[in-house]
Amino acid sequence: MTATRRPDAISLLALPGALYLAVAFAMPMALLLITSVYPESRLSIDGYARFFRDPFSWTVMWNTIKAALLTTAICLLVGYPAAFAVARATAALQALLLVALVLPLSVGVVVKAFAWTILLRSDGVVNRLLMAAGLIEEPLRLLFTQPGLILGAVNVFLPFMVLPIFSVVKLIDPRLLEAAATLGSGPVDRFVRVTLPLTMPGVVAGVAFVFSMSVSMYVIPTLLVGDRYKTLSTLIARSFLFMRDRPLGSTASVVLLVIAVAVVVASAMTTRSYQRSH
Amino acid sequence: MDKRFRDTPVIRGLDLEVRAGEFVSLLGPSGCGKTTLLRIIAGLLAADRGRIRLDGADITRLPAHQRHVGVVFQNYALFPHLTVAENVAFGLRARGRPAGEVREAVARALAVRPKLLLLDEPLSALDRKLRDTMQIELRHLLRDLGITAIFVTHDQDEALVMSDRIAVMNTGCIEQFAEPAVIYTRPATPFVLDFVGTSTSLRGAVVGAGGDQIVVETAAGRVRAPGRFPVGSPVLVAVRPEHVRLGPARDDTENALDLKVRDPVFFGSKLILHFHAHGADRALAEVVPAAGAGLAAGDQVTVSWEVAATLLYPAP
Repeated sequence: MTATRRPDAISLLALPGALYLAVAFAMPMALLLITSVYPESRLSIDGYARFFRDPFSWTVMWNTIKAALLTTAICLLVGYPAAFAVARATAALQALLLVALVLPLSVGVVVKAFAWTILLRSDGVVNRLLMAAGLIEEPLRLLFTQPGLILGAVNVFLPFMVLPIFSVVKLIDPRLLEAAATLGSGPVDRFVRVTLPLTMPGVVAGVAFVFSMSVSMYVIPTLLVGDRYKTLSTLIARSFLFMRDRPLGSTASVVLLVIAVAVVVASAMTTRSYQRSH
Repeated sequence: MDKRFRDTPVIRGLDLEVRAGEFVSLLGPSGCGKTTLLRIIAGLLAADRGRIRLDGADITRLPAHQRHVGVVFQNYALFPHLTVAENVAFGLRARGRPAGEVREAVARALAVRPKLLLLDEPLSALDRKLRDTMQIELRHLLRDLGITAIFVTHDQDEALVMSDRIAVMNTGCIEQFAEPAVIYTRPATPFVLDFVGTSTSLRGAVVGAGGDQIVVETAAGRVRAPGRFPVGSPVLVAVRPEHVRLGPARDDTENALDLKVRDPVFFGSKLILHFHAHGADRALAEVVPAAGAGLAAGDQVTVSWEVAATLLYPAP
């Protein structure tokens, strides 16, 4: 266990990937940032002032955050128990469940979102089933509403919550829960003091994945809600593609980036303090 | 008690009674059901049939967290997200003290003052020196606390050193439950004889019977043993190696055999002589190194031992 200052030769293996990201991701991001504060060859925060003064921007931001939070919360509620089921399943069933989780990822988001438009139409499968069951009289308005958007988003992002939690649960020694039981710890106490702290790294990874993807989703809101429910992503696309308002687009992009990074960092920090207090 | 996994019986009609304050070892090869029995006592597994009583109370249907039975797991099952002190204090929400992993696991289990402590091979991962030290340390600790303990092990030396009584298990049954000295000197079955310690063991048929003694014809020669079997019965005769010495019988209270040395194995304070034996038979003698000096593979020697030290079993 000797600490050396010399860079490990193996870390050089990350070089091609790092170079690619620098050119394909970091440089465009930097240019975007520059565009947002340097619109007409002079330094200015007018773009931000304009953005934050407009109440419409706040509506859009709130829409974006609300949809992402709801999607993340539902994915967590549904995905956490599912991850346990997959992790504790027998080998054959586990393989099957993992395929069931990963295979849908190979179907493009456009296809999935379009499929949901068919399901959610007023004469779609969902409404017909609900009416046939006698639960509703009139068809519900599902398409072009927030619940419809969340439904579609959860469907697309759920695997990104289940997989990281699954990989953590699989590593937890079942003996730990038995040990807790023999020490007088009941089922609820075991969950709070053993299971939850040990699965936290998976939860954080899942939340970070799902939140950052759902806060910036574009295809799903475009197809499932359209213009009725504007999010930062749809606003960015409109400003660049239709309005040709590059300062607005780049400002909104930076705001979106800051929101995503803030939530991901905050959730990681909350976990760390949670783990310390338990 | 009975327990099956699918169609395989792992515990078969087992009965065990441990006295308060006693240190009992469950000794047996892997797969004999000793860990399963431990898990059933702890409440981590349910038996198919049978009852468990602790301090007079029936705890058969009680969940693990209400049993007051502490467990030290084979891999210790220490909580990786907690410190030593927090691990020890887990069942208490109080302060603990630092220790090595075994000590930490034992301290954690003892901190809640269990009525019964179960230990599942807690020393098997340690190297020999440390294991020897911990055996004595654990034995003293548990005696001093007067705690009732059941200790699972496949290591016969560990069981002999640590226990008040040993239950030797085989295929879900207890073969013998007795003090360590009785287990070693008077093994109840050929399995116990074979599993605990080493021995010369020879198969043969009874060719003469009279009084309390029989004569057995083995491939290595005639052996007399104390016991009663009708002439013609297939039997197994055995003797512990420390009873066997080099040289002819001194009088007619001793057995003597002519054997050919296969391999003298040096153990420092002693020399174990392995002899050529027929089929599944085994023949060995433990002598002081000086007595065996100069012996080499192929040498022909005469060994002898007291008839009274001969163990006798029906052929397995």
